[in-house]
Amino acid sequence: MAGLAFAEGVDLDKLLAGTPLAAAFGQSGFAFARGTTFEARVKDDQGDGHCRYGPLLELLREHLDFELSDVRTINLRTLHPGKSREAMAARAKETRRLLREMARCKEAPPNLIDGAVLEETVGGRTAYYEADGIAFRLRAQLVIIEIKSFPIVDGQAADPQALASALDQGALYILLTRRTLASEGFPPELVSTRMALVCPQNVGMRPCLHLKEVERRMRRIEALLESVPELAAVRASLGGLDATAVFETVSNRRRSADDRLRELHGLCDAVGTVFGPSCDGCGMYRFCREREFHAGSPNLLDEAASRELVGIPNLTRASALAAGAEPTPVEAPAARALAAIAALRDDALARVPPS
Amino acid sequence: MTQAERRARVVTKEVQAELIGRLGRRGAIVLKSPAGGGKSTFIADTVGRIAARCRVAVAAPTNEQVYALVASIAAAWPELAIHYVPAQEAQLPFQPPSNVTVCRPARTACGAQVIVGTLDKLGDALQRGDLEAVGCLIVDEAYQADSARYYRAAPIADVHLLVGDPGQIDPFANTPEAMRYRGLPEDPVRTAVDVVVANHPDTPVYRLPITRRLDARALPLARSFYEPDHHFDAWVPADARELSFATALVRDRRLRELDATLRAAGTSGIAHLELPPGASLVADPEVVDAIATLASRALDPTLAAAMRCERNPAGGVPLTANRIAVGASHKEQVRALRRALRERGHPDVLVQTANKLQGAEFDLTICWHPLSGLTDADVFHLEAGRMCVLATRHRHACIVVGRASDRDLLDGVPPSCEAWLGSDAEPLLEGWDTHRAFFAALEPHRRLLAA
Amino acid sequence: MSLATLQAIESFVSGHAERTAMVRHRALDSQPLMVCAFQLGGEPFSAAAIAWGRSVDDMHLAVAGDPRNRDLLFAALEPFARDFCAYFEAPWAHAQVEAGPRGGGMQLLAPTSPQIVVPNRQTVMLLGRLGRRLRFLPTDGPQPADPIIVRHGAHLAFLREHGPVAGQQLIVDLDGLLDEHWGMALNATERSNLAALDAFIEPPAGVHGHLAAAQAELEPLGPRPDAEQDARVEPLIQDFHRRRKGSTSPRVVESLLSPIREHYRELLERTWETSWRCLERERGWPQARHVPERMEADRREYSFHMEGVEAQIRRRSRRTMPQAIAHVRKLSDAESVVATQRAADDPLKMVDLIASGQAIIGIVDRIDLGHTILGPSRAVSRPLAYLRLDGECFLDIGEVVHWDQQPQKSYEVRSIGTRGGREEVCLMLENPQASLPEAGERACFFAGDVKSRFTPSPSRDIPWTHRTPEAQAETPDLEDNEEQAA
Repeated sequence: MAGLAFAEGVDLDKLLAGTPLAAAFGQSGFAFARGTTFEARVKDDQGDGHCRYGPLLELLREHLDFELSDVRTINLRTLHPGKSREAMAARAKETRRLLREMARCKEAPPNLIDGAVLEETVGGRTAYYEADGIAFRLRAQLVIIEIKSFPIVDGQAADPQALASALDQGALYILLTRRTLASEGFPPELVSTRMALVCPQNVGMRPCLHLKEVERRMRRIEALLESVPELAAVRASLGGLDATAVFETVSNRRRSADDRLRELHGLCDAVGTVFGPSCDGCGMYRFCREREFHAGSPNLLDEAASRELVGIPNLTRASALAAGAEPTPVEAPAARALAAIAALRDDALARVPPS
Repeated sequence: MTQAERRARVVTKEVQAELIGRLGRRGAIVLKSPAGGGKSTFIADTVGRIAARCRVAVAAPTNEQVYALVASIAAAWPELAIHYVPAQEAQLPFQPPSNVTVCRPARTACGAQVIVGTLDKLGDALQRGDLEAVGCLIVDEAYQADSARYYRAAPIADVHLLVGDPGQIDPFANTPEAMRYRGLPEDPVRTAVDVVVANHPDTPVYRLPITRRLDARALPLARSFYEPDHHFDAWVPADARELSFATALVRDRRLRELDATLRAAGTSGIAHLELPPGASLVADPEVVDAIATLASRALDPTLAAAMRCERNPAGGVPLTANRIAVGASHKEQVRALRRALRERGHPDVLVQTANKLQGAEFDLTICWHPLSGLTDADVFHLEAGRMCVLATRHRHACIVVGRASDRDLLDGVPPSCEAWLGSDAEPLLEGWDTHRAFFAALEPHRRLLAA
Repeated sequence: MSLATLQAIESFVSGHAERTAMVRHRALDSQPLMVCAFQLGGEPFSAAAIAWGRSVDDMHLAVAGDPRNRDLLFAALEPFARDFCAYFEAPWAHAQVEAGPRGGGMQLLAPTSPQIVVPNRQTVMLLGRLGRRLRFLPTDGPQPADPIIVRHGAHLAFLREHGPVAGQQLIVDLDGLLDEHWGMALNATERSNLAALDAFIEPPAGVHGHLAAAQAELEPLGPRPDAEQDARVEPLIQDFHRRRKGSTSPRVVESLLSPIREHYRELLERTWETSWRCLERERGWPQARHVPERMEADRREYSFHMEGVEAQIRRRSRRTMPQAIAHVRKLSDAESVVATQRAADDPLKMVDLIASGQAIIGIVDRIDLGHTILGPSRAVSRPLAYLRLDGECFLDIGEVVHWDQQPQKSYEVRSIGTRGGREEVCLMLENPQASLPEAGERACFFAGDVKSRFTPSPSRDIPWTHRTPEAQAETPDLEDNEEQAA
């Protein structure tokens, strides 16, 4: 189902809005504001989008030997304002041109691009990705810069998952920048696989810069991009089922919640869903979980626990087997373990805790 | 002497020369060895050469490793007095040779020329003042010693030689809070080698270019676990060893197939037995049965398993239960396997988790593939070190047992994984790549066990 | 297969959570200090609102207005800090000199320890981050901070560090407490939501616990707000800023805080009530045998911390290497010891040990009191107990085990055989002064220690291998706090 939804371009966060199984989505406005405030600080944003980049340049000087006297910045956000597809396409074109110049090393190209946009075809559709910064020191490599507002406290990120997301993002930009250069006939190795992460240091908002090798993550992202199916291929595999129409019905807020949910259940029955703890964050989480609930599925439990129930169709049956019901051959191994631990439990309940 | 042997000798001589050159100054030397590289022999040899010039302490993380060191050093240098400093409950599992003194209390080893003990014990004795500083500390299995353990023993000498196998399992702590130190210099769980190289980047790192336990047939598999720039060859050529089984008429199709697997492994050194695809419990009863039957058949007198190798070129050496090991990832699997082997009349075949098999050697190993029966590959099961230990314990043959669906787990995209600053290591992704390489090396040796 | 998994399965069938413990494995004070908080978005080092009090009817509320403004935040924290320190430091006022843990050196120890209760682990981390920010603030110079806020920060930082110690109860996270004692058909992420746990344990009549939990988790209990909650307070904060015109004077600010205060009161009241309800429910269970011993450890840690605070010892924000080594060792040790204690104290917790082969249970077939072995000079008494097992024995010969009725005394596994079709284990008591189970009695023996082993602290001198050639002693990492103007 996840692959189908992506291929169809369905926003799962909003799909079920207005039904009882709507996703709680959206970032707090304040979280967003913290991000923009910090970024503005790092880039010394004068308030109108015009940046002087002082703090960022100082960090680049300290960690990448940037010569402060030789700085040429370019801000593509002010050049092509807005987030429309036209603006993004224009920025992508400009980014490509700048990258060519950097790669040629001819007369002084800009050595800091703010708001670079990289273009890629994913699942048959063109997508635009915006990098926080691309830095270049003459005769050295291009470095991708990501600015994030989670703090690095006492030398380490407090949130390893947030750090991972930031690194994956940087890895994506490195990959796309390399592809852009390669398509222009330049060696992709011009782009370093070491990215620069700029974050607040400790408890304040003073920025610090950390370099991190992300080559393996880059290869993972590459595999991820390759794994996204094309819409045509996905549609072909549906055997005549018109998923687009179903999604339209489901997201139609004028229909009753019952109708909408029924349609989505039908689509899921046809296409199949895979539910587990790693589904956390998907807009259909509550919906799929309720399906699993009504099926009494072991997927409601932790992965390690559901693994122990291989061969057992549902939790009600698991309970019966634990109580001593006769298992089928497929159920037998798990049933044995269930019955054994149930016997231990019953025995324990008859004992008195030592005092 | 083969090329590999020659190269290995060059490296070991360089390391020993470097070590001798450093005596009296301060610094460390690291020697990376592939599995079965002959670390013990090298360390024993080095101890004898150094002992004439300065006092030496030899340490390893576990008691079992120390017992092996005591035995090999004492045997290599019968005229050299070895002082073994045991931990409280530790006891040599053999009669100490005449040149070995068991030093209880530890201070009786003070001033001795050669001291051997665990890192913990030597560090403890040093801290209490029972032992004095020596000229050189040699640490065996340095990739399994964590920084915390190394810390206590480190002050015993200004010159260290760290020898270890980087392919095996990394040290770990049983508290999740330890993760907060990852990537930071004060991380108590990073390896001893990591610590000293991070603080002393000019530490010379040597690579032993040879494996003595594994023969040339096992090289493609073994190479999955080491960096591409760690080149090594096998001392033993591909045709030197054979584990043969007599022909036996067997009615049962499954038993016939298992026997055929044994024969294939005996000839080519490796077999990958794949049970039908599918998800399974941790203690997959079908895998338990297959492994226990394989071990039992290998010891069946009608099959008369016999070995020929470089030590016994005439062949005909019988395979005994104490030279077979079964390796798994989970204690639950170990329990089920032990029960199954007991039921088949073989309670003396060793069954252990990979952790406990590190450093050991057998003629035949049967290992339960860590990814067997999983629906998703996760960081624990993907740990490269575990697979490396399981797949490099054998001299003659290794049979990997899993399910045909295991390799498909690595077909798609690796799961997302957490990150830490300060370290370039990516255990999940490295494990993913290593397992893919290992599956590729197993490809020519696949055998399907039909349902 | 674990007991938690089995009880999760049963909870699906019964519609409510099932116990995984027969006793309560943490001490719960009759009047702890409950603390609940909400952040503003993801602001890591501040809190938009804090509720605290010693009983459910006694909720105090402090609201910053805009916690990104240092002056507004500190003004809001001040009453919280005052009440917190008064409660937290009270036991220390009665400290007396006592003998050390092993009869060693004399220590100044408080007679009891305080207890802070929070809804979830996220709150512990938030308080910890606040502590990290506050404890290093200078109390003089151009922007002095109130000393009580700085002292408060030291306490909060200490509690965050102490939190992960297995079995501790100086700071109790209720989601962890409930997860320890209940099994339910939810995954780990879902179980970190206190409202969901509460709903599954006591769902409304006729509603399945899972569905009740799914409903309850919709409205966050904090400290992270969701987009909707923050969307409601955003215009209130904008309005507040407009009206105060940059003033941070308490008189002006107080008069304008009402709308924001009401917003957070409503949110925190739900968190507050849920937390107290969960706490009261768990208090009803009898306490586990080893809990007083763990309270002792807490008392010593607390006293050591208070001694440092009183002496105004400046702590670093980052551990040195020997400190990190000692820290991980202490936590690892506590994990295994406390897990063993829990099993020894609670037959339901012992189930997992038996299932994994680390414990055996059966009927005592016979006792041999006369058995002796040869000691250094004469024969010594070593009674034998023969246990006929229900299941299989996976222990090794020579392994040391303990009887759950007297877990400090050791038995050795002498032999494992069969008798009457069942496995029979012969156990040798290593200390004849200890008691033995009686013939015909059911008895349980387990491997593992209920007591920590003593290891000396690592030396403070860092060996040459563990430091760079130029390394000097680290200097404390004092923070310059940046103004985060709203």
